[in-house]
Amino acid sequence: MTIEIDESNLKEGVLGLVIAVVEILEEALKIQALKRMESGLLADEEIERLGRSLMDLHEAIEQIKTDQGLTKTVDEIRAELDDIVDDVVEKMVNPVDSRDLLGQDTVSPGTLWNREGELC
Amino acid sequence: MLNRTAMVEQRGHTDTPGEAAGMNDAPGSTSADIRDVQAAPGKDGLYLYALVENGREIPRGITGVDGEQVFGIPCRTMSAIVHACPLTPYASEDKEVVTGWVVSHEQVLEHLIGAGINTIPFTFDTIIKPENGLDARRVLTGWLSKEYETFVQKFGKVRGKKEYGVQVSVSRRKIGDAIAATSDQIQQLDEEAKVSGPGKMYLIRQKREKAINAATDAEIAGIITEITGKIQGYCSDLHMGKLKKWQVPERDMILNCSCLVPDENYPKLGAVLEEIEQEGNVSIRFTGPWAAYSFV
Repeated sequence: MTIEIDESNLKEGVLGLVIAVVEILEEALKIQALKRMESGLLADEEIERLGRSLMDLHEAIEQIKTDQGLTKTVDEIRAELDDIVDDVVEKMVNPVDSRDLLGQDTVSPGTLWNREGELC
Repeated sequence: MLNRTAMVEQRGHTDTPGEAAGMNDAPGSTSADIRDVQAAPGKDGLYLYALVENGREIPRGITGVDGEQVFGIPCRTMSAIVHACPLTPYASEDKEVVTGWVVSHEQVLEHLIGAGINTIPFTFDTIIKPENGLDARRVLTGWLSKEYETFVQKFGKVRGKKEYGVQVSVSRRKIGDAIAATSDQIQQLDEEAKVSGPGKMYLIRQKREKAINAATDAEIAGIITEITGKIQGYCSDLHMGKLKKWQVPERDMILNCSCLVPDENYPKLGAVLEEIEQEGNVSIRFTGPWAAYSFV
């Protein structure tokens, strides 16, 4: 699967991809921050500082998206990334391809193919 | 194996049920028969729609992808439903053209299913080509003969049954709002946020969102278990498909299920789904009958 980027606006596409990756990192940071907070090992001051940093990061990301008109592009890229992850997970959960389902795995190669040019 | 039946069907005429579907195969077929069937220049391939079990009349004059005349090629107790095509897959950059082809493919299957014919469907753009000096027809019949027992088993699995789609959606936001309104944990977090500085408040809000999402996921898992429990008794098999985007805003698909349903159970399944929807928590899309793609 490929990530589709609008070729007429490469800058938007690339920047959108960068922001999408930064958002994913931001989510990972939030998870870690919550774990630290819930561990009880951080002082109130440290929790406050951690929270403010993440809040500032979030606001900065949102500001860039708004300024550059990237909100829709980032959403689309993230949806496509989600699809890729879903596909990978699906293949891990159910590693059976259509050839097995159709019982055609014994057909000699090249006899049947689908529109992607693959044996089916 | 190859006889007059196939030639007649290619011209859009069907004979008696058995004859049309190859029940009356006469021995002594000649290679001339084969050449006659595939005489169209540049159309040395066979586009395969489905295998059908003999015994019922194939609807007359079906046209398939690109308006091509569909015909049957008999092999023992089954027939392959095909049209003669070039040796290149159907491909276009124009989405409308591709959609038209796929719809035509599905319409052929609908004709077969609508006529009560036991059908094993093939996906769009399955093309058989000549190989090792054999024309496509001989390649096809050779393959069907070789895999005959496999296909007999598959026909047995779907005989008297049809595939239906059951898609269920909920509003995650509404479920989340209901959880937030009643959960002690969420109310405690709200109280804690009120007396916190902006940084801690931000983290508490993240925690709140995470807790609501987890509770929403748990509730949705319960809904899925309940629904599948209610419908599986009416299905001989279930296949869980990938979740897709629901067309209505603010609704999320939580179940995308293909059901292989015995014909006599179809009304009961419909009634159960209607009852579930009337309870008000979910929206249900019940589609079909489809060719049993998911179960062969």
